[in-house]
Amino acid sequence: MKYKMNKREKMGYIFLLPSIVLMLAFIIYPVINTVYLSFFNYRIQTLSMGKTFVGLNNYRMAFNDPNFLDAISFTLIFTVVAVTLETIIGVMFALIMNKKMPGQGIIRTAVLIPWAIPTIISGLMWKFMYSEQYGVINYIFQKLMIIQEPIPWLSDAFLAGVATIIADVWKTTPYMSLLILSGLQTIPQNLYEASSIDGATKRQQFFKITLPLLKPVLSVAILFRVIATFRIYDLVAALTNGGPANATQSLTLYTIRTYFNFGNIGYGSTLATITLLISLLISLLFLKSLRAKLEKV
Amino acid sequence: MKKPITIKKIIVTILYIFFFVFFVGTIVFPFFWQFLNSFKTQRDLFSIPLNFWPTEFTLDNYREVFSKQPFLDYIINSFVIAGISTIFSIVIGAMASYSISRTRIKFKKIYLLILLSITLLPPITIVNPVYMLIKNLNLLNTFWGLALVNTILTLPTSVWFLSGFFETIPVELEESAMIDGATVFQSFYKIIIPLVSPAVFTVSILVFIASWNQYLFAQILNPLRIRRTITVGITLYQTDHVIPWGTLSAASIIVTVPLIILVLILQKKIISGLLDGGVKG
Amino acid sequence: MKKLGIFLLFIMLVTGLFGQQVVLNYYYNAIDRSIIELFEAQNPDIKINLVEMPENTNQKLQLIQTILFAKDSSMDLFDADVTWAPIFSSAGWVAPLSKHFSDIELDAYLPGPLNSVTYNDEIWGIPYRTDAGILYYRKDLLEKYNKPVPETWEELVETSKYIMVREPGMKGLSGSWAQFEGLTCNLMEIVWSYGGEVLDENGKVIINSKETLEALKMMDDMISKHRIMPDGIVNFYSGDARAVFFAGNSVFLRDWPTGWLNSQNPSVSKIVGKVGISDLPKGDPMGRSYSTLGGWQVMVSEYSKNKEAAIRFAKFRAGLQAQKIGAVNLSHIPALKSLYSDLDVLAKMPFIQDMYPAFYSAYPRPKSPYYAEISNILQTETQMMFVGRKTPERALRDMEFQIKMLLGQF
Repeated sequence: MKYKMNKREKMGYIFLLPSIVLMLAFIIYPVINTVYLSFFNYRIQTLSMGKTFVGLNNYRMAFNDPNFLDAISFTLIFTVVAVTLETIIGVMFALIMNKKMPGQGIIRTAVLIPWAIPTIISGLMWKFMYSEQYGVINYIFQKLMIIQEPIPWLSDAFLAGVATIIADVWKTTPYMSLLILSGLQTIPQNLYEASSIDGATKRQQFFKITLPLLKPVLSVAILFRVIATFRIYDLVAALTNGGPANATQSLTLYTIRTYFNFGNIGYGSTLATITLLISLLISLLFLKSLRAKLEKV
Repeated sequence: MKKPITIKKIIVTILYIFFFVFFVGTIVFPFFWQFLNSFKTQRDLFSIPLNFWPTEFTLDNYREVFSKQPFLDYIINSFVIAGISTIFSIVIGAMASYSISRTRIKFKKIYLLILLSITLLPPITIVNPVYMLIKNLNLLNTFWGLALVNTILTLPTSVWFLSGFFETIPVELEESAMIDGATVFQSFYKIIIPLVSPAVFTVSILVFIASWNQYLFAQILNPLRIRRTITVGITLYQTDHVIPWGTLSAASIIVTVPLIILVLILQKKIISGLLDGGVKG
Repeated sequence: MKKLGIFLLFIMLVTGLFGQQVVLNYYYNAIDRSIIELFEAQNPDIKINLVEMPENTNQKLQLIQTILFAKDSSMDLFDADVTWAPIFSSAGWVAPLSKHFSDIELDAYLPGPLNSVTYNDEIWGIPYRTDAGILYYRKDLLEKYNKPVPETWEELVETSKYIMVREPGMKGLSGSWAQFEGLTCNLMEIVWSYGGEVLDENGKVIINSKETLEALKMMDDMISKHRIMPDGIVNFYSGDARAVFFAGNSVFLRDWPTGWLNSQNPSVSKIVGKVGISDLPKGDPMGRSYSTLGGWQVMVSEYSKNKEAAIRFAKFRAGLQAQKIGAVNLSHIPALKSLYSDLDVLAKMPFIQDMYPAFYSAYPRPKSPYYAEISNILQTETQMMFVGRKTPERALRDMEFQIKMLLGQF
């Protein structure tokens, strides 16, 4: 027996090897490299002078940098609003999809499509639809007499944010609703039946049975959506490119600009590290559900 | 005894129809609009006020998609890279999942923590170092470089789903095989793999789609035309001056229609896979 | 068998000697392929591999910086925007070229473009096309209402308002005011024309002046007070600006000369034959009109393994033959003086003869290795003013502060 276990363990380690190699090369080393560089003043423009160690100066600069503060506040607000909407709408859709209704197949297919297409493409599609000159959204609204003047979707600072949220919710709610649906399906039907007999209303059933039992699935789904939304890049790059007036410049977009357009490697690394730290912080908030997930494996 | 048709039922049915139309409509409308636009002439596309329906149909936009850029090459590149990424991800992921769920490894928790951190990691953090690494391996502008990056990015998904499934396979099956003389590797290959094919299928779809949609790394690692992917190629129709909406609409239809068809055909399987994995994972 | 062997050896030797073909990877912006064919015919030992770059200038910069930062030798030459020379030269990423040019050769180029590739007394690129902002106007409308071509921005505003009242749906001035490099170009033309400037000859920040403030206020008023700008101007890229003008919906357009051809193309323009061009208006009536210098140059990567061949090609690509082809086939404005009296070129672009003074004296944007960030600051603050988040005074103060911080002038 002992001989078998050792052989098994050996195989176990060997099986893990490829993924460990990948992780070391592509994750661990790069992250360390980036965090390391975040403490240096390292710019393309002064490449000949090499890196100069500046300690926490870059971080101090970040918190005084209006662009960074704008980016972070936009990204946070965007994340909170978008994920809240996705969750609420996602739950609604999941509830409806849970019932055996005609056309269920079509609904489920429709649900998968926005998720399957590249974000870049959806960004470009929405950009055209929002256009003040050629946009179909304003066209329809005007035809339906909802508005008189065309809405400046992408040229008003506030509306640009709204437009981005709508595009993001359109793309991700379907997948979210699928995840929630999977959670709904684990709830035993007899719970509802039993409570009906006891005279519970649909409302009470939802809040007392559905939601609590949905909690584990919901927390994990929300966590991953929050993390993913927080680092939004493709969509804003395609839709608004951060404009107008940096109103929709997400943290990742600003970091990429700092890195690749301004050539400020040190500060870019600082921004990237801060993004990482915030992601970690968010995960800590959801630590309980994470632990549960880890334990399962 | 048939239940009587009450007013409540009628209202519910009407509400449901509204929901159905609204739901499917909002999701589908952008595609419908792209579809329509792909056949419009420049005149129609850029007319103020808008011409909703085309006044004349043209295939020019589709021709331009392929004439302005080697779009077919991009499609092939995306397909091959996504395919390789999927195979890598499944193989490496399956091996890792097997190890985690079947064997007693000492640093399992740490491994899983790092795996989880990959999902939490902002890609921007690793962009430049990864570029240097791929360049030093001489894998820039190849299928393999980008495929490797896609693999590591989708590894968490792969491992989550597959280990969830591995749990459902009783250890006894393997043990009996091994008593019959199979090595660990053989038991892995002959017994486990066939049993987890539903999970493998779901993971394949997820990884394939994620790799297909990859933009940031595709942009950085495969900038040359020869191995450029669709996501990058489609952004290159734009100029500093104008966005050729006609060409873009046609290009996006070309990209999305196969995906839509794929989803339509495999819809049942995808959803059941997601639902099962979602629960277990 | 022996004979075959010797024959094969001979073939190998021959191809070995002459088959040593150098392949150059040229990351290009826009080129007529016949230029490549011509060069390869004249230089059979060099083959040019054209590598396409994203059309968005910022993405080009991103791509090139990534490649050069990694010291990647897979890029031999690339096209650079007119403002990039200081960026790449200060990083040591491009090959210095002055020793490959004689004074006569250099003198053939327009001073503006040549100036833009010169930094720290060395030449880092060769200009193959130039550009300058110009004013397009509706000949027919100005005639109809008996208005002269405006000489100052105030005049332009007044004329616009006059015509707008009498032509429903008409707007005054269209331009590219979205948050991209185009905005900096439009902005600087107005700032310079009022007497403002960002940096002095020593690189000191002098942007916060009453002249610059006047210019900013004028732009802000154009949107909110005089209301002569089209809706959504804050998001206008060049194409959007052109579209409004070509659809007949604005009296004036600020654009690059490349807009001319399209304006005469009936399939995209409703105003064929009704378009005039002129210098941009002045701010200070006693001053001069300023056009932003645009254009592209070829640069050679310091990490190329074939620098000698690359420089040979770069000289050709920015030489007389190639620039003439570019002018005739692609409407690239030449950076070489002699082509402005070339009959074939003038046949294609008759207006460049009249506009020669504008091209000759086109004015460069601030020269700095930090230009990308400076431009971004200018764009962002101007846009903040446009969307009403900041007053012109505040925006200007913030511009000054940020640029000073960036350049360490505190």
